[in-house]
Amino acid sequence: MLYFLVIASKESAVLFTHRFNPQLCPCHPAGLASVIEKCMVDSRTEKPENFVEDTNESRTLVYRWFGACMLIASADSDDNLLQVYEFLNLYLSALSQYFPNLSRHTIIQNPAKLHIVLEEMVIGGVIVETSPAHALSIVRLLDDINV
Amino acid sequence: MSSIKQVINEAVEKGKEVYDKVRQPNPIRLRDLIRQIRSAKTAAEERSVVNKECAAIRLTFREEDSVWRCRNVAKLLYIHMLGYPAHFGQMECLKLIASPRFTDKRIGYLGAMLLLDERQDVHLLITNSLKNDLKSPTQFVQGLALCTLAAIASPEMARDLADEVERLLKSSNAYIRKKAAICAVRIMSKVPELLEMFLPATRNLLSEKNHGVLITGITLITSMCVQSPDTLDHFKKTVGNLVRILKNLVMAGYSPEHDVQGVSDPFLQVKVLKLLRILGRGDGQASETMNDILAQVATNTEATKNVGNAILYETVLSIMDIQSETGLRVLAVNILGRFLLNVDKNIKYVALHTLLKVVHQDNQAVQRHRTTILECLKDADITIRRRAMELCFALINPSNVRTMMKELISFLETAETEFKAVCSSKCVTAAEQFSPNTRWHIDTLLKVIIAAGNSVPDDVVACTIQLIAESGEAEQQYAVAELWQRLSAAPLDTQPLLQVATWVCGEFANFLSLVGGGVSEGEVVAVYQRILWSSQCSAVTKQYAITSSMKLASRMPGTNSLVAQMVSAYGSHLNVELQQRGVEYTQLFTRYDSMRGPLLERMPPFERSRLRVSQDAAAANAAAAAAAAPLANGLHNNNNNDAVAAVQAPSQSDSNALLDLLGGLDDSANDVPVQVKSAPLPPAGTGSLNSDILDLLGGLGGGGGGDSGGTLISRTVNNGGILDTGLGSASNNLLDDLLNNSSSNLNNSTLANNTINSTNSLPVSTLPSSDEYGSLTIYERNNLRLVMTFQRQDSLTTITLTATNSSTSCNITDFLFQAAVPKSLQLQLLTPSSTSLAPAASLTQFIRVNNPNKAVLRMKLRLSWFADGVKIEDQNEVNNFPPALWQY
Repeated sequence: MLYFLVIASKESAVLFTHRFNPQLCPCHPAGLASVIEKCMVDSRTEKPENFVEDTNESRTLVYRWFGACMLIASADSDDNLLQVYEFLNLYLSALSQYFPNLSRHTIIQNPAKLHIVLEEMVIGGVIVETSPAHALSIVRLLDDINV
Repeated sequence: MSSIKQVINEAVEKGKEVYDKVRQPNPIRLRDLIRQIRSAKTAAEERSVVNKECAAIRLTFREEDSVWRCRNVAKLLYIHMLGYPAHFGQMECLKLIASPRFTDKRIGYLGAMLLLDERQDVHLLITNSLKNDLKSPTQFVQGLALCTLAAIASPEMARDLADEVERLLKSSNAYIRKKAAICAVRIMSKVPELLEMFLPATRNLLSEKNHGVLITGITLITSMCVQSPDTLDHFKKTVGNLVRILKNLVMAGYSPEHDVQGVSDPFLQVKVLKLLRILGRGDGQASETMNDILAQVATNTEATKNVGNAILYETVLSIMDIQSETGLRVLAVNILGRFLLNVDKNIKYVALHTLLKVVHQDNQAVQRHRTTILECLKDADITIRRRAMELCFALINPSNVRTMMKELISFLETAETEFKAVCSSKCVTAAEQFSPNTRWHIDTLLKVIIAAGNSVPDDVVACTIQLIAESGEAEQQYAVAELWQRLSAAPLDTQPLLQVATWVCGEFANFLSLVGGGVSEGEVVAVYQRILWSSQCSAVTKQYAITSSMKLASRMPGTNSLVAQMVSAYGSHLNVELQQRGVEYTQLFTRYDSMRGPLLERMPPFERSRLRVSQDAAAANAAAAAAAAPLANGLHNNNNNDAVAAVQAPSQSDSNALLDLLGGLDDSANDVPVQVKSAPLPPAGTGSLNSDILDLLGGLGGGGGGDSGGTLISRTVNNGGILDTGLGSASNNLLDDLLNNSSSNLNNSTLANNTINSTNSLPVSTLPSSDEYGSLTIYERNNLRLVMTFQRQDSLTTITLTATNSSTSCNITDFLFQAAVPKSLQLQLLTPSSTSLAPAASLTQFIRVNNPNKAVLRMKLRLSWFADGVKIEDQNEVNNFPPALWQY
């Protein structure tokens, strides 16, 4: 099960956060900052793996760099971490299909869209859609209903 | 009159003007807010921007402004996303949800999903909106509602809306079915009884074509299987379907929609494998059905990319968990072996994690990768090294202990400080468990202490000393030679090594003359002087050294004057402990010189009765059981002598030493009274030079000097009393006796006699009555009643547990009481008076709790017994101990 997903910039600034289960996630700026810091520190070590233990011992943070942005997901330590790692890629590829020129700027300016795309793929921490194309077709349909 | 009217009108006009000025015409756009926040230079600046905006948003909320509501909630979500509290927007989200505009609804639901907490009133309101929207004719509105419900459902909501979800689960629309399935998962996790309701609807989920529905359907079935064993059986028959799904995925050609780097829907494959694992666990037939496909996945999946490895990892777990064929298991472990050699650290990490899980199921299989795992100890990455270290300790067995230990010690030498303490402790445990002979054991412990330097935990020092003390003379001689070498050349900054070395060299100083060409007295004293005057040595090391030097003086008479000089110099040391030592030992050289010889005799080899009071609460149970055994021996041996010393440990004392003290007393009192005379104070022979025991020694030595040092309180208890009526019946204060006797009978100088006499004669003095703290019924179920009564002396609480069989016909056998206390406390469970209870009979068990930090006493209990042959287990937590037990 996933707990939250964070996108951070190279400078450790929070660009986007989505909590899959609001009751189980850090809900203050300091908590987020420490999560990001942990991953940043780890990624600077020599030949790191992309998994860091969370403050909550039963969870592991999985991070992945995409250009100047880092995606961080918190998952149960017993989950298939390689799959979570793969999912980060899946989400980003969905985003880059949705936004023609995906950049840091787009991520910052469209938080609601990022939430909505993510919501099509993950609900309550469980992956529900594995095809970006399917997820996006729905999102686009919804975008057109502007009543 | 008209003028008053005019004034009022003017005032109203003015007020309006002011109001218009204060009120911002339009709230700023999200885009602008983001720019403002991002341009903030410091956290404080960011906070002030956020606070200002929150205030503005609050204001518009209060005005019930529906035009800007959507924009404001969007801004609030952004603020919340950064981690700031934004729960005041919950009601606005609900209003948006109720709006007929789809855009509003969408933002409203998004807000609800992210902002809603456990507040009841809000939940009630949203349940209504959800109910309406679930019935909506538009699939997207239904979808939004389902999505939100899946994320935030509370038990009440789950009950109210389960019917709707069940209906939608059978919808003809795949998009709705998918979301309804995930909703059902959440509903079941909140209200397990509702599981049955969704059972019929799952029938068709596995024959779906749509991957989204398949993946959520499998998630639903998985959580059903995990929740209820009955449903697990029900789904056994779906194994065939699952195998087919997996086969289609593996065999299927390229499908652009679900392809991830050439693998067809890895996420679905992983989900299927997970469910197969649950279904095949412990079921031969189901396992057999899936053997082939697992083998197929394991061989056909490409291992060059992360996706492939994610699937392989899941496959390995499944193979190891189900009752698979041996060939398949070999395949799985080989895959893990390949993982270990992978350059990708992620895969290495996952492999070690998996091996750690698997090692207890199939040690032999993991052993095959021992060399690779040992290689991982040298990995550049710290997390990999930590995992590899844990795994290495799990792999040690009698046949490989030599090689493994060699590798681990060389790992220890270069390891980070954070590893050293854990690693050295584990090394000691492993060596104790598997050592082929004593010489090797001693060698290993010494190497561990040298390799780990100052990070060695105290118990490792104590273990080593004990090991040497109880080994044969040849080994002791060897240890002295080894340690003398270290001692004479060692840098003075490694305390644990110095402590062990000084203890051993002092205790067995007579072997020093046999070392190499013989060590001269002058050399020895020079080394001790170096230690005692060094500023690098800790006070504890100096305590070891000064006592050791006393022993040295009695073994090598030539050093007497030099040692006396050193010791007396310590009489004015700044450290109180050392000063006391100095003063007391000086007394031994001067006024009580006749006592010095017998007092400093060699320790009798003490029994292996180390009490391991585990720091780890989880391990406390096992540890207590282990410790109880030797103690019980002591109790039984003692039946004749009626002497049991119960010793209380002050805060910093080492409980190992205490039980040794107990053991020492018992042994000498029971079996070899003659030896006791020659070794007058067996208690002083505790493995570590425990300061409290030194105090006892000091008190004796000081004799009439009056200051007993007084931190050690021990008492003897009538053993029969313990078993029958509890502690209160007959007990006296051993320390008092020891002190009184020693001071009055100094001329006789046979202290031991007095000790024994006094314990034999058992003067009776009553302990404070246990009524002081009242009694506490901690458990009353299943025909068993447990009552505790308490006695306390300083930090040591003795709890008398009385278990009564309250039934009239049922016989209780194999009664086992286990308890754990918070980490700052130490717990010792003594053997119960019996393990079986006839109807209406009772048994007693003593529990000692040492609470030096005056922490709040809590206890977790685990009970198990057989009632007329039927096993009953139960757990309980006791939080209502009388506060007087720790507030004093």
